[in-house]
Order: sequence, then C-alpha cells, then structure tokens
Amino acid sequence: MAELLTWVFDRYSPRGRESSLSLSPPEGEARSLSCILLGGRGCGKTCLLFLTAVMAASELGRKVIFLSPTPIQTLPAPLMEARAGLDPASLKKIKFVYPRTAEELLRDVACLHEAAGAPPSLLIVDGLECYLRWGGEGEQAHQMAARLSALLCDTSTFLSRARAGAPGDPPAECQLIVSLDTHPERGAEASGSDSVLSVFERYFPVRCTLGRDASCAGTRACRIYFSGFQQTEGRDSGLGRHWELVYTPSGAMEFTPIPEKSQAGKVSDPYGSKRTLTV
Amino acid sequence: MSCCRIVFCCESASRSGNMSTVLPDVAEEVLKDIRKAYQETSQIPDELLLVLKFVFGSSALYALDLVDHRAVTCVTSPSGRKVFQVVGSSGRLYTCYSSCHYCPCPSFTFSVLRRNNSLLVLQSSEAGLWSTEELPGHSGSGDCREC
Repeated sequence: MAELLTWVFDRYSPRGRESSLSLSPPEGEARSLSCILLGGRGCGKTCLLFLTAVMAASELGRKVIFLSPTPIQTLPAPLMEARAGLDPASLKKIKFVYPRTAEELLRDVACLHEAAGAPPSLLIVDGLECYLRWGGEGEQAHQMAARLSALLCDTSTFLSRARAGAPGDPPAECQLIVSLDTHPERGAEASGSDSVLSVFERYFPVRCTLGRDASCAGTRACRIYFSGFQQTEGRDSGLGRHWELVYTPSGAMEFTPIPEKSQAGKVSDPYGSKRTLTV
Repeated sequence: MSCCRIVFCCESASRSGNMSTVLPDVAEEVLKDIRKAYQETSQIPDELLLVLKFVFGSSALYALDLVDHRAVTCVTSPSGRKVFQVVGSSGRLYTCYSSCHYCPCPSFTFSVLRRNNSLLVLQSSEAGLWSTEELPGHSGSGDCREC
C-alpha cells in the first residue's frame, strides 16, 4: 500500500515525473492493501490524502471514495499551482462523503459493496480520531477502533475481489489509506491511547509517519517515513525510505527523498515511545 | 501441516523475536488445511483438530462447540459479500467479517486487543474456518458458551 504514497511523494520531488508506479504484485506474493498515516495536528495529513486522491484519479484513472468528518475546503497547495492542468472530468472520479459520527461512517462504509457501477479502487478515510468515542473509557475506544478498522479492511478486501472479477481496468485491488491524529504533548495523561494505536496497527500493518524534522529548525518541515511489516521481497514498497516535506513560503509542498546514509539520527520521532492520540 | 512443523515454526519465531508476525500465518495455514480436508472428505481428521487446539488453545474447543450447536450463520448479500453471525451464550448476536480477525464481543476486546495473548476468539476463528457452502448448521441457532 505504501507504493501509492511513495509514488505521490516522488512525483512532487526533484525526480518529478520520472517516477512510475507499479502496483501489480508478483505472482503468488501477498501484500497489504492498507496503510495508516500518522501525524500530529496540522502536519498536513489531510492535504497529503487529498493530493493522493487527486493524483490517483487524474493520473491513474482510479475511482476514489474520500471519507472525512469535515468538508474539504481548498485544494492542496501543489494542486493550487497546477490546477490549470487538472482535468475536471478526472476529479469526478472522486466521491466525497462526510459522515459526522462513527455510526454514519460505519453505515457509509458498510453500504459500499451495494453501490451501483464499478467498485472504487481507493478508499481514503481522513481523521479517524474524530470517530473514536472514548470519553475516558478505554474499552469503548478499543472496540470502536477495532470495529472501524475491521469493517474498512473487510470492505477493501471485498471490493478488491469484486474488481478482480470485472474486465479490464487494472489494477484490480481496492486500496485503503486512513489518517489518524497523534498528539505527542499529552504523553503520560493519555497513556491508554498507546494501546488504541496498537489496535489500529493490528489492521494497518504499514504505517506512514509524519514527524517533525529536527534538522530543519525555523522552517515548516516534516520527515516522512514508512514502517511496519509487509512482504516486500524484490519490490520497492517504500518501507525504510525517508522523505523530507518542506512547505515553501508560497504554501507549496516539496518532497525530497533522503539518502539512506543521512537517515539515521536525524528523525525526531514524537510517536515512537510515547505515541498518543488526540480525540 | 503437522504439529511438529508448527512447533518448529513457533520455536524459530520465538528465537528470532518474530512471533507476532508468524503465528497468524501459521493459523491461516491450519485453517486452510482444515478447509481442504473438509472439502475432500466432509470430515476433519483428529490430527488437524489437535493442531487447531495447539494453535488456538481452548478457544478452538469453544469454536467447535458453536458449530455443534448450530450457532454460526453465514449471511450473504446480493452483492456476494458475506459475514458470519454467531449467537453467544447470552443470546446476543455477534457479526464477524470473513477476511479479517474481528469480533464485537467483550472477550475479543479483552483477550485479543488489550492483552494480546490470543490470536482470535472463538467466533472469529470459527468464521475463518468455514465458507458458506461448507458451513455445518447453516442457519441453525443455539445457546453456547460466550467467548
């Protein structure tokens, strides 16, 4: 699942349009269809997800379902600069759904298999933390996290099977990307939330983390890296790769791949040992 | 897959510290073997039942008990999507998905999500064992031990 995000990062990096995307797994190889995007509030997760949706729809011709608790107000900055080149017809491939509560989200996702027409090939859920109900009771948060994750993964798997039976339109898989807000400052007072994250990680084996970049003091920058378990023999899944995301004064985002030699010791991972959730 | 092979897998995984990623794969293989054996002979050999007990522990016995009591129902929508509904001992109905390990019962939250000391509880392991066509007691119901 990391391939789609790494492809987007590479497209907006100095490598630019040289990057290509291969999403067909080798014969007999299993891989995860789901990825969770972790990061603090305001670090650009929604923007990244929207950018991924637009790129997948406009350049890969994918049908995308974008679920979010709040409506998307503006185009991501990179697309603001290039919007003249966007094909409005391709944007029609993105369907936005705005469930306000966890119950509405569950209902909307549970109904996707009944929708007419071709099944979507990319499911995006932004702001999963908004749908968690815990209010101090950890069990409810665990149950809701597991229920949402399981339904999303099962739906993605079913839609992939449904697409596999349809003629043409490769790739057949329906991929799933969700985002979750983390809040490093709350640390000790919300220690129970670490285990909520472990529930999500049970269902989303690939994690894409946006962490503050300690080497870029004074500028708005993030370090993006992938972690987790995935069967990746012989493939560039993005696991182990790092990118630096810098917001330019104009608001545009620039992704710069970080060479492997420079990766060690520079990442400030606020979610490593004291990861918490903001709800 | 034999017991010896599973023991070897688990010991190797334990030594390498990779138990959490290997055990689910072992469980999947066991379920596949059982499904295959049941498709071919309409029976589950004792050897595979022992393997099932080895991997899932006491949950395996409760899961099989559910089948005996016809408490597992496969529900298929017109689109072809399937879910499994299991009647717990309290009479509550639990819905399990066919492609991932999940059960809404309290035991799953406690034993699997919180304590992480069990691969899955009986309802979800039961759901992973049978496909619609093979499910014994297809639309049955009964009182059974809740996980």
